[in-house]
Amino acid sequence: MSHFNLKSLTFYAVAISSVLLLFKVVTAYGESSLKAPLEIDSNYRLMLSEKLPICDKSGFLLLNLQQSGIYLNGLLVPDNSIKTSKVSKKSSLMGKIKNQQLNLSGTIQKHILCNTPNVPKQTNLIPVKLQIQLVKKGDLIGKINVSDNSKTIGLTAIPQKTKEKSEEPKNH
Amino acid sequence: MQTVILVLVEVLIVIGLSRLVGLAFRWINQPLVIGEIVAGIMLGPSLFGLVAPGLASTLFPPETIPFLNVLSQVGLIFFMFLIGLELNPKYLSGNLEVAILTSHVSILVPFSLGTLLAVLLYPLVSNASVSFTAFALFLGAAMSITAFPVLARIITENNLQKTRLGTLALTCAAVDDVTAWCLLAVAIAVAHTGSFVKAIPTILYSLIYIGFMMTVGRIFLKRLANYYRRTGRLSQLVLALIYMGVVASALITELIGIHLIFGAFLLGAAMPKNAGLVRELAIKTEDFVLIFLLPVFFAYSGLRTEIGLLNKPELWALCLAVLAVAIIGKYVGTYVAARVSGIDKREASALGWLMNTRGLTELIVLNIGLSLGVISPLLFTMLVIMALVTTFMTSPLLELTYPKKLIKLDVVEQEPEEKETSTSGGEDFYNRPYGILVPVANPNSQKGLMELAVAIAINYRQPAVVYPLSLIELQEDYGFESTPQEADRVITQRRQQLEELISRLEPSEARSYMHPIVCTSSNVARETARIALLEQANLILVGWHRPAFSKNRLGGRVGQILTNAPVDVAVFIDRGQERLERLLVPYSANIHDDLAMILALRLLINRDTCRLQVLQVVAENQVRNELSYELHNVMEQLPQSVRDRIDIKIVEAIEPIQAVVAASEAVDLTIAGTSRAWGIERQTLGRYTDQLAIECRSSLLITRRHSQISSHITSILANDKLEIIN
Repeated sequence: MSHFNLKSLTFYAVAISSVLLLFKVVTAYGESSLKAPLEIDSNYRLMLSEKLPICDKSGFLLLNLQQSGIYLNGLLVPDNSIKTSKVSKKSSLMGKIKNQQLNLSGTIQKHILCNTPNVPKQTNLIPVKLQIQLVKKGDLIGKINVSDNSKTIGLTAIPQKTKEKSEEPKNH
Repeated sequence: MQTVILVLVEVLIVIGLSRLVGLAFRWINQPLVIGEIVAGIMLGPSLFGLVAPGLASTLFPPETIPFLNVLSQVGLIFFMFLIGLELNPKYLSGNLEVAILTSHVSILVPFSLGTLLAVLLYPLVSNASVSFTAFALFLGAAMSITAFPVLARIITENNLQKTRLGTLALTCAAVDDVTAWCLLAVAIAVAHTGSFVKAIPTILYSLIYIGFMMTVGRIFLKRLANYYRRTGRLSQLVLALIYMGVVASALITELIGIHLIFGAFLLGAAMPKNAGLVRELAIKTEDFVLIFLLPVFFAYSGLRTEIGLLNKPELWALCLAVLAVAIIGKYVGTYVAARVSGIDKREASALGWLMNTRGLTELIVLNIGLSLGVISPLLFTMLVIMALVTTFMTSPLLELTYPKKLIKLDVVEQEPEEKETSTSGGEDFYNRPYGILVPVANPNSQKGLMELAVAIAINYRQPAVVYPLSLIELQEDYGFESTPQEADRVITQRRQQLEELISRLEPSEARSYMHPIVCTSSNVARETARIALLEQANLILVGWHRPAFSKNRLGGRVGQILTNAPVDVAVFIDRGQERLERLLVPYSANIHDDLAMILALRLLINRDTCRLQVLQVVAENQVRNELSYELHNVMEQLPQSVRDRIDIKIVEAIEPIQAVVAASEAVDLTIAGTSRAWGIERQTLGRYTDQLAIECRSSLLITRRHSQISSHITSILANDKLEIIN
């Protein structure tokens, strides 16, 4: 057939080789020079060093993170409500990873922050800022700031093994 | 609630919504599949989860998602089998040299651009657990996809399958499809193993398996086809064997380390392309897969799509970059290759847009990428948007660069009768042939309709043309019937039926006035109107039968044509009278009655033996209805020989319809305008009584006027005058 003549074959050979060469060069550069952010676990238990100034008592919080590269969306929930639906999640914190540090900010309802589920739903939203230093393994150290208060509170983020993660194996 | 019940409720919602949104998209001339994908996204966190998070989490709790995943994977396996089954080597027959060049360049360019884009995206939207090579390969593959099944349906729907553009696009897409699947298999192998070198065994095993299927597998499948040829039917045992083969093949490719879908696709591709076997197998398999399982896949995919993740302007900018690279890469690659191969600018451009259709195939690739963790949820969402936009834009851009009116000029096998029609456009009003478009739903029972069209159209004073129109309505996007091969077969069959109907027409000279049109359509009423405009028809003449077992009034498609067609329409209700000598026009002085009168006059002029009775029904002491000024002028110009055959009768009656029904006893054809006076509504969509249609004793022609009535008769009268002067 005519498309297998020398001219066509040369063209295909040159075109495909060029693309493969380009791919080789780009991947060599990418593998050596481009650094993607660390993969971070999706759930953390946050232990605060002291109680939040707006709350009457101290408590634990759960941070559910969704990572897409450097972009993060987080959901803060009281410690006793881990069973949140993936679908219903409405991310309340947004942020990025910058210089191995995770920065999240947004607004959270007060009853979530203070873990007071029995109080009728309060609609007042509290501004929250979170900063956590990323390390490859182990617990993470960071700080939290609420209500634009100048006082920041230290925290330890303990990675949690989630049911969701184990349910979604690489089941392509 | 029990999980199984919840899953069933979910499936119920998914099927219902996907059908609903799919139909809405069909209505705006978009492939059904886009609607189904959008329905899936609507059910996910992008809409349902956003507006009603509580209800969404109750209806779609995390514990049901794995079940949806299993259903969607089963759906995908069998869908891929269908795609492989429908991939007929016949598609590779047209312009192979150009197609191979175009399809390769149309993969290489977007793949290269995708690789470069990976340099920008990798540090931003990927993470360190994914190797750059796997990421770049996936992104390149995602950019290079052309969805053969969606493209094939768009081509069939636009009646492009016989054109040079259509055959070229199909060949390119078929080559693209196979190449893209190979690319994806490599990408998966690399993603699994982490590097090219480690992926080499997987690639080798895959090649061995492909070789095995194409030799040993094919020999076995050929025996199956021979068995089918002998028995002439696909027994449940054979079907069970084939389905077992599909699942086994899927499992083997999964074990090799590529993906389930490849095994299913491979078995479909290796099946012998015995037309009967393929048709029966496809029809038996597709209904459940397309109606039940595929929407579940869309829903599963939609649950993982979060448009809300694009919450910063910079992320929308990245999304635009992804979209631009995808569109430009595919378009430029295709356009340049086509131009180099000697294809003209317009066609090369249309090909570029067609090849941009990514649709469902892209969604399959993306879901694999997300499940493997190669692409992040954010990039997944961006690429889903890209897939939707590139598929959505295909039809309008195709229409823009390659309008439908040009398609006919480019048919590979030019039909002789169509040449004449296409030259009629530029001629002046008087010399333009009088055209009647006759949608024929059933060639076996509509001889009367065709004879009436001949009677109205043909005289010896003015050229005329009758377009018997047979539209093949495509029901489903992915239905086997809408594959180009199958559509071709049905078109040929319908054309033969129409030719047979034409050959039965009397007088035999009438046959030379016939210009049959057979094509596919997704909306019969709209397509009829479009063809009427394109062919500059003066009248659409459509038949109607009252269903035997229902009280359905004039409605449905006929009603839609009546309401929407931008030309005059006449609906013929045939009572089986073969003669067409005595006509009755009940006249109540509205514009639709004017059309009824003018068509009756045309029949009088065309046939010397015809007589017309005009019936004016007035209530007691009411003044008779005068003819409209326009109609009065026409009457004045009629030759005496025609006027002598008109009898105007005025009757006094309280119930006009009853008077007409009584008068219709003595005639062959009653012609009435759509008016309340005759109990016929303009829309006749079944809301009101179409009393005359039911009670009339003769055949009935219901007219609805849209344009100047003079268009039906002026040129005849003008020619008459000329004859007198000469």
